[in-house]
Amino acid sequence: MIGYKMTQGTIIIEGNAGMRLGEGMKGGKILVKGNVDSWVGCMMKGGKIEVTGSAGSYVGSSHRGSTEGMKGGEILIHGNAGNEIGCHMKDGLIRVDCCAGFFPGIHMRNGTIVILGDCLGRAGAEMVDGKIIVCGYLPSVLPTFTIDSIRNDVKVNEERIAGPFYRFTGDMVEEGKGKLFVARNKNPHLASYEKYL
Amino acid sequence: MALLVKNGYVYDPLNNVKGEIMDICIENGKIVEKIDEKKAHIIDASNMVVMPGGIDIHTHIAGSEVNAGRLLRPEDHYDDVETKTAITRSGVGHSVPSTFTTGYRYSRMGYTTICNPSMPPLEARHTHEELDDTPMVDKATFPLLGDWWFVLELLQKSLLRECAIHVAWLISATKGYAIKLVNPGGVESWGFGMNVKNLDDPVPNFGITPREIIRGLCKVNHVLNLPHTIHVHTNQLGKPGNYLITLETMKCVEDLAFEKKPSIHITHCQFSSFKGDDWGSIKSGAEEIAKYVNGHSHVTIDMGQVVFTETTTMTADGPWQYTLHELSGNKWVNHDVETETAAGIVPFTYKRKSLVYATMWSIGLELALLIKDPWKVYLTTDHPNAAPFTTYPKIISWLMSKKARGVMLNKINKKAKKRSLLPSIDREYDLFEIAIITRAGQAKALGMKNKGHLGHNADADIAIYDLNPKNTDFSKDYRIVRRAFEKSVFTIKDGEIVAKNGTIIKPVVGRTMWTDIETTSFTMASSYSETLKDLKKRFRDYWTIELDNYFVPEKYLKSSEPMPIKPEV
Ligand SMILES: [Zn+2]
Repeated sequence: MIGYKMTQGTIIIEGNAGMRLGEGMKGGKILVKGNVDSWVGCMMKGGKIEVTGSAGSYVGSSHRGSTEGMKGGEILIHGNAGNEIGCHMKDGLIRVDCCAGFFPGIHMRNGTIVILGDCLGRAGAEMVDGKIIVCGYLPSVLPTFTIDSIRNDVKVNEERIAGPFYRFTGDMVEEGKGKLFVARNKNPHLASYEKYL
Repeated sequence: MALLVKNGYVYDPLNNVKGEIMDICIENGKIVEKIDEKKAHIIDASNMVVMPGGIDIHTHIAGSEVNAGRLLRPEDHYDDVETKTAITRSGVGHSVPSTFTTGYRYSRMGYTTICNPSMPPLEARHTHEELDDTPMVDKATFPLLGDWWFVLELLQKSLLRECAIHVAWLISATKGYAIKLVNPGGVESWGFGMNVKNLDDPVPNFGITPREIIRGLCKVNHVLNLPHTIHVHTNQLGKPGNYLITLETMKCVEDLAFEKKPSIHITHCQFSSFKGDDWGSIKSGAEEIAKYVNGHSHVTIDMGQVVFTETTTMTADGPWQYTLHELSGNKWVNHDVETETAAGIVPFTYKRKSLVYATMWSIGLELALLIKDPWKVYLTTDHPNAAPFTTYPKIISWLMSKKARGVMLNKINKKAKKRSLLPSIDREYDLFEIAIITRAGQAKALGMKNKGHLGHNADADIAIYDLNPKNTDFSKDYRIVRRAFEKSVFTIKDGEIVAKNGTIIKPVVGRTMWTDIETTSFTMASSYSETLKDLKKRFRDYWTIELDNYFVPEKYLKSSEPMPIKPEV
């Protein structure tokens, strides 16, 4: 629980860190030069966490049982991340430079998750709102998402991520209006969706 | 060991002691008239308040429902942990604490006896296992009988004596203490997706009405001579306009009071005192309820006071819990306990700025302040439904200080503040009255003769608080009151100092009290073997477990304290 509820200042970790790094942090910066375990930035409200290596599951999530996920701030993971990142996320940004596991953005209410690499699947299950961008391979899109358009790029804060992307809306199970962007070039198996446009 | 508590300001309402400086002598776990001062361990209680140990008449602390609440809410425990010490166990707290933590926290506040008010009979074994693991306090538990099939069926056929035999059997089978009714008839109806709307709305398949169930069990309670009255969670609880059905419920047993003794206890009455047609027009019905209670001697109530916090609601009232789930959108558990009752659990946050919750906060206090006789109203939060029991000190400070109430009134929803009756109430409780609503009155209502007082031969359960009534203005210094009741200086259980300055220094098991109904008059009757045969057959047909596994034997309890009762028949 390094950086638990921190409000300002900087922590630099030369090496790996354990679970619940930066839990509930409101401000300041944590830089990990290595890997971190699960629940990085869980329930964080502000500030920035940067991890040069990989992270476990539940990046920027809520506690087990709680619906209070990350509410603000940024988490940048330069390596891979585990399952259920951004669970119950309400705002802020999670960026994973390599691959992510199952269920990114599960129960998500708002905010943005960017996965520059591949995703194991089931992205955005039960999401209500917010944005998930998968730039790599996604095995399939949940049947409770509908395609609404093809976009040339996606705006994340000030930055534009180049596409083209299939844009899906869901999760219909929650009557959600979340947006799931999946890179067209890396996912030819999703081309069959184009006939619904 | 002998103990001598010297020079404290003693508040012992059952013996009419109102803050006099007195010594209390203790020997062999009991309060005695005199002891040899040289041989006794002396506690100097000068400038402190001495009261009997606190008693809680209604707190959900054990059993399958509470445990399901623990499972449902890992997030509830996360930031509130109890670390292990050389003598106490670790645990987790907040709204549904683990068993050991529950015992420790009550003891630290000076409580020594607590009642678990809703036990599905089928879950009695589980409940007793958890009660056994709730240390520091004596315990009692009330089986849910208002929707038990035998009760519905026998009362519908007007077989009162048969019903009494079955209830006596059930109480001894579950090692229960009193008869609990939750939304009588409504819980059974909920099994068919329905609820009862008024006292004369028949229950599907049984045709019996809530009025008949309440009256029937009230009569059974009298026949069996149980120490407590029927303990009732009213129909339509938590719905706007329900104060009318609450008044009806109290009226419907008016003629069943004997010797001016109470015949009904309306529990967490706050939830049953709503006026208005819907959530937008919700208003307090406390004035009407208080007026009725003031005019009648057959009713007692407990508050069910809301405190603004995050908590967990849990009752046997399945339909009400469904409503709460719909209102809050929160996760929930709903469970049908076979042929007996039901249960529901929903996490809940009472927000100050909400009209409804702020009104509910006001209603609880209005009830306690408008009911003139403190022997008729007891301090509870229906833990954890309206707030965790650890908020009691805050409630005490609201009752003792108009200023403390004013501070909160300024923070709540404006409309609720405008509708609240609190600004017009000047009454402030004194320590004698606080001692009544937190121990003496509860002991009296529960018929626990050795509890709630400091007279000769009472159980030596005592709480000593760091509060000097001679130089404290409770009305102004309400924070001092709150702090004093949060941590007792000493908690004495059965004559031993178990907690000191908020730290547990001696863990004790605590006994489980149950009513041991003398049933020879029943068992001698020729019809008894028929009854047993019928019970066995019914269990085979309708319950998932056999009759023989249902019965909790006395030796199953870690520390059993049967209370012998002679029925009137
Ligand atoms: Zn209750």
